[in-house]
Amino acid sequence: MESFMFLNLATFAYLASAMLYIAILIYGSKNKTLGLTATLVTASGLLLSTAGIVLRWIEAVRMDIGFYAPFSNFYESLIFFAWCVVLAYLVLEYMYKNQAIGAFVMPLAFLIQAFAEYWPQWNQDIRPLIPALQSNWLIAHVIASFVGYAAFAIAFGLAIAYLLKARNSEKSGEAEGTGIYAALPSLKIVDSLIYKTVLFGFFWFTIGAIFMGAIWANQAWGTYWSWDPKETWSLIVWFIYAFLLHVRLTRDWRGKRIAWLAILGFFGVIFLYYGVNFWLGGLHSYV
Amino acid sequence: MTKKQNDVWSFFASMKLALWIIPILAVTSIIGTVIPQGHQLDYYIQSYGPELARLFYVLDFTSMYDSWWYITLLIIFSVNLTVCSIDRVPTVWRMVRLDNLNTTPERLQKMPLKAEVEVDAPLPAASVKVGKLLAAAGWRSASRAREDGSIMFFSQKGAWSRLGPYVIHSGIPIIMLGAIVGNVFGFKASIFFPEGETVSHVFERGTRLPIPLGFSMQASNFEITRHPNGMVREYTTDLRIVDPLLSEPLYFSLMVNYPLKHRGMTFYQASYEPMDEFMISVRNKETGRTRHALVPSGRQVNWPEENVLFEITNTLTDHAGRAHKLEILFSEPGAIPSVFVMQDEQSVAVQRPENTYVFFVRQRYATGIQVAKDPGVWIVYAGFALMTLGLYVVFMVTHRRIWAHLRQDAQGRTWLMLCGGSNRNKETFDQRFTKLTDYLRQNQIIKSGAKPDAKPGVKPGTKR
Ligand code: HEM
Repeated sequence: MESFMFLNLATFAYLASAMLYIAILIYGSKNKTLGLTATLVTASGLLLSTAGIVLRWIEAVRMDIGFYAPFSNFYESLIFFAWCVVLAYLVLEYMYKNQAIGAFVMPLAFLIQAFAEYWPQWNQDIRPLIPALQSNWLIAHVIASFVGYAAFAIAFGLAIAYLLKARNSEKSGEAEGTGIYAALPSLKIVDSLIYKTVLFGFFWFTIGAIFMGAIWANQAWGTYWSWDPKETWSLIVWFIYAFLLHVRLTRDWRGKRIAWLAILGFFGVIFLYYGVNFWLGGLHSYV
Repeated sequence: MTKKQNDVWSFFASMKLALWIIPILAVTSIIGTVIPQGHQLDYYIQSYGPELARLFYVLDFTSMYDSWWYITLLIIFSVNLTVCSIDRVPTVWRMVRLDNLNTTPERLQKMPLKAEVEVDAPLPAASVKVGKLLAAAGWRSASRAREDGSIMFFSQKGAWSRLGPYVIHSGIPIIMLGAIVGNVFGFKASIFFPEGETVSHVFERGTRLPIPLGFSMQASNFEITRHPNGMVREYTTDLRIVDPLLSEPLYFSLMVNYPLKHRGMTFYQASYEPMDEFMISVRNKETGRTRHALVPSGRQVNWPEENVLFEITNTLTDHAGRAHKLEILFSEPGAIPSVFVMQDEQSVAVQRPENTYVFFVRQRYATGIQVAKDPGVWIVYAGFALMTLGLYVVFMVTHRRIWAHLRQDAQGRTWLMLCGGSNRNKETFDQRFTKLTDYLRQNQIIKSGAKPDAKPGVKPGTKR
């Protein structure tokens, strides 16, 4: 099982990357080598994880256990979650040419990955899928949902950054904060980034989690909606983010309030993703 | 409209209501995920005690998603959404169709992005040049001469994207309509029956009332394939449907995720259960004579033609009821029996004084099939499609506008005022706007403020 080795290495790369970005935040972004190293370490972590995921898929196919996708149990889905967050972060870094945000996103990616690797609760073996999961809809539904989750995770990281920066700015009287907070993009930009990532996440979450999930459920069980806890929680999360978009657009809420809503929304996502499976049960408790 | 109707309308058209109803729906929806739904009263009394159980019953918390109050919330939500959207669409439509060439220069002054510069040409020549350059930069514009002799240019992209949110919104009532159609004109039912048997009814979910299918359906075979570790790989019911509307029987292998559609109904392989019944076949190895029997364990089968008796005396089953080991007794009446242990779906040769028999056992299964008739599902999917389209537009398309106002001042100098705005992605638009003004400068249309390093003829968007 070589895939384990790659995924383990990816965990360390994510840890290194998180520490490098925190260093950038603390020591400023003037050190070009540090900045480049952080990006390269993150990218190699992503590559290692990609290799791990692909190898795992190949291992599963070799085992001849029928239809398989490398996010079929909780362990694999956490790995994939971290993968999406890192990829989304790298895109964001490339688009906005700012590395300070990494200090708020990469620790999250590391935590997710470490949670997958070191939490004793889940079985990391490749096991065959129950018949209901043997569908191409599994692939489409999971990928699109996790793109949404990843965007919401990044919005969460940005919201934390926003709130810390805003507090620092109030205390110091400097509009854009002092010290490490001054290195972050301006409050206005962080705020607009939160909005954009939420909108992006909302798009994928609506289509991937809700619509594709419903179509697949209809295909497998004959009902597109059965108020099972996972479905209901996805609706709740959807309502939270819909609320965020609407107060921003029609009530002109900005800044802290939006940041708090992004945090609330992400707690909803965590509950939807982890809590429902382990505390509430239902049709989705696939681990 | 009367005053009263107006009140009702504006109540439902208000965004305030939406910003209340959305959180209320989010919070109340939690209840049914914490309290298990749809159990009998006893269950709640045992789990929560009589007082809470009674409270749950009074408040419909035990099947809350079809309770009157939850449905009422959903109705208020969709009416709010519909009325609010209808209320605003005309304004938005006017915005899409707006004659932006009529915008006054005073309004332009108030725009967030503007740049005013002098042009090195008399007005008519400058006008031609401005139009060409804007087009070359990707902003094909319309222009109109104003009464004061000045010229207004306007160009926009993605104006229709303003309708995006309304396309999203329209999806929600359509989905609800689909759900209602499905509830009123369709049904959900199920049937659970042993392989080999034929049914012509299914049983409605909840009421358990029989619904005639109008044809008969036989589970001619049920098959489970397993992984080496014993986990189920897939399971299949071979159906044979005899329908008076069809000249020939219809055969279909029903599997999870591969439903069968027939006569507006859809059949789903949903579950299975091993039964305490076994299909036994015994063959005389020499003569080939065979006896089949379908019996529960513990019942003796007599085969007088061969003068043998056999019986499954004992089974070892797992928690799911699957028989892993079977103990068989095989004998002639009065003789010393052969007693042996075998596995399900295994052949065993039994040596008897007179003959050798091949003994085969297969456990019988019952198959669970869900049946759904839902004529509303395509309406629901249409709602999904609309919302997806709307979300795509909201996410991907920005309404961007550029105005250019060309005028001559009292000294006969020509001035160009460039303004613009976008409803989303403002930073991106800011950059584009700067690029556009740079581009005009580089092409030396603008005399003053020309950058020293400006190279003529550079297209916008090219890297420098
Ligand atoms: C949960 C259901 C709803 C969803 C998914 C939804 C979705 C959206 C989205 C994605 C936008 C665009 C937001 C943006 O550009 O940032 C939007 C805008 C809007 N929504 Fe909703 N909406 C919902 C419910 C409602 C309700 C109940 C109302 C009103 C009664 C409403 C009124 C509006 C209005 C007025 C806009 C602004 C349109 C504009 O100015 O461009 N929405 N909605």
